[in-house]
Amino acid sequence: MAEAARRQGGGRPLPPPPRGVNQQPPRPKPEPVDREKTCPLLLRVFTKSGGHHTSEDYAVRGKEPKDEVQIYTWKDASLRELTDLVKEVSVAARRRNARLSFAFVYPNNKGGYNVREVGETMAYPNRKQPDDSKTLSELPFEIGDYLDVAIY
Amino acid sequence: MGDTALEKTAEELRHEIDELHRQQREITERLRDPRGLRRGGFSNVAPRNQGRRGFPRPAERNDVEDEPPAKRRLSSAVVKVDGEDVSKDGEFPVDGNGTQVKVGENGTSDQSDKKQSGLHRGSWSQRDAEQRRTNKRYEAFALPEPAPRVLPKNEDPKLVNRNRRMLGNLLGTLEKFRKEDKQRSGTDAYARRTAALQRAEEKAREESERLRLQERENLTEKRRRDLTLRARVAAKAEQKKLELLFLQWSEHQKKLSNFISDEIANCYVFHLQVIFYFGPKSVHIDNFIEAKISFHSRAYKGNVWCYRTKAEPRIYYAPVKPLEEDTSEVEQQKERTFLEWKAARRQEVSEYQKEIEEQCLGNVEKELERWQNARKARKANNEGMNLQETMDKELETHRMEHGPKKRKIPGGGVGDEDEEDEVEDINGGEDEMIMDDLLEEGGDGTIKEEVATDTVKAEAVEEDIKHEVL
Repeated sequence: MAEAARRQGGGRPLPPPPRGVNQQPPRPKPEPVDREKTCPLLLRVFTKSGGHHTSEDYAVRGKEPKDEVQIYTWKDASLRELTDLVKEVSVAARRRNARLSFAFVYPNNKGGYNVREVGETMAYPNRKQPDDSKTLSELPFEIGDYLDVAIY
Repeated sequence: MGDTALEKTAEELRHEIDELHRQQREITERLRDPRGLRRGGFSNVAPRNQGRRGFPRPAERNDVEDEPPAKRRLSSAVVKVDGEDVSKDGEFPVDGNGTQVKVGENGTSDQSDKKQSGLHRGSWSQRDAEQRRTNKRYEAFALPEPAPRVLPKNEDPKLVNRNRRMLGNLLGTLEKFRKEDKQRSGTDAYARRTAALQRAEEKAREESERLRLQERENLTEKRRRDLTLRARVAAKAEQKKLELLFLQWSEHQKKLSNFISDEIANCYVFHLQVIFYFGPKSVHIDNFIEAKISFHSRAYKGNVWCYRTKAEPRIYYAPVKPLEEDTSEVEQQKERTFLEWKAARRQEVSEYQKEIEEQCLGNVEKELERWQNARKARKANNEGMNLQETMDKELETHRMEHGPKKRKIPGGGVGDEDEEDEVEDINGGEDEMIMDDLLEEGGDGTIKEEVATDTVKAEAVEEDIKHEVL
């Protein structure tokens, strides 16, 4: 209930609010995670070539998109790390010039799902990407959200 | 220890990747600037020079054999004419009759010379120049002479007759020389010499053509080898990167295996995919339940209740404490599971690496074909350039033929100096031919050295690759 209320508050203004300003209980600063003792979370990743999935694709529970990758990871994982893990199972993501766009899929207060882009990475770190070092704890990620990855 | 080994291996992989990239850059630079093209251009030019320089020889020899007797006569005659004509020239500004007589004589001699030079070849124009030179000397000598002595000798008919006689002698000598030259050109020695020169020229041309073809083949072979080597290096680098990824994946999976236990999952009747082992963090569990569970049921096993959801994937809660009393068996099972996963993933990565290598080598043929097409287009342009070079060489040859003859004019008055000049001309020609031969040989040596160097480099790079593979 508290989480739902928080999400609802964050969803109302169109631009995503900066952390700690509009949300009443400020998000705790990311702490380093001891991966030997902390239980990993399940991140359901849906990949698609050429673009992101739409909200309607996630509308029906149990009928999510087909190309699903289940990644077990921790909240201190960066987008670079997630990119490398996606390359483990997706050959399309291994192309030299492949570009991966990440988007969170989270429920809204109307019963459906929202898809919001949060960053982009290159398959191979050949030049500096500002989103490579962002971690899940820095981004507005809640455990249980889906991750939609578009491979261009 | 395992972590240390993995980290070291990762560092080694990164080092190897950097080395492979450096080699790739080196090969690319070599492909952009093949040096053999310049040498090929030079070797084309030298034989033509050699062929053209052969032509002036017979003319020079004829001059050498013909000049001495003519020079001797000229020198003695000129000396006498100088002594007497000086006074005559002195009267130019004073006496009108003297002027008329002088002009008439010059006009006659000039016309005669022009007619004769029209009939003869270029070599005879030299003597015409000498005569003009002599006339200039008359004028120079005339100035300081006193006036009274000049006047009475102007009307002397003996001088006029003597001048005519000298002109007749000169013309007769020229005609004799022209006949001799015709005779010599018909002799067997001349024909044999001409044939030998033509044969030598043809031989040089064939040699040049053969060298050019050989150079082209060498260039093509070298380029093919370089492209293949670069493709192999690129494929190797790609494979090393995959190795790095594999290490990361393995490390990640190893940490995950602390929280995934197939043994516990197998306790239940349901078909299991994933099971979590949660710590004593109720808030964490509650958040997860609120987010993910809309329906759940309970499964009872022993003294522990577990929850199941209908959502995919099926998620089960495991008890806080392990059911198995024997911990070592669980550890072994965990290790075994991890190794199985690792083996399967390793096989998949290896297959992908082979695919990468085949793709890179396939690109080599395409690049080589593209390069050859570009080269054919360039070849058409080269033909135009060769034509320009030919014209330039002809111009230089012309200059060389006429250059030495200018030096004969200053020494016209003295026979000995003239002979020395001719000798120098012959030596100069020989020196230039020798220098051309040296340049040609040097070029060949350089080309061979470059080929050897490239071969050595290629072998060294290949050895490096083999070493890295080991």
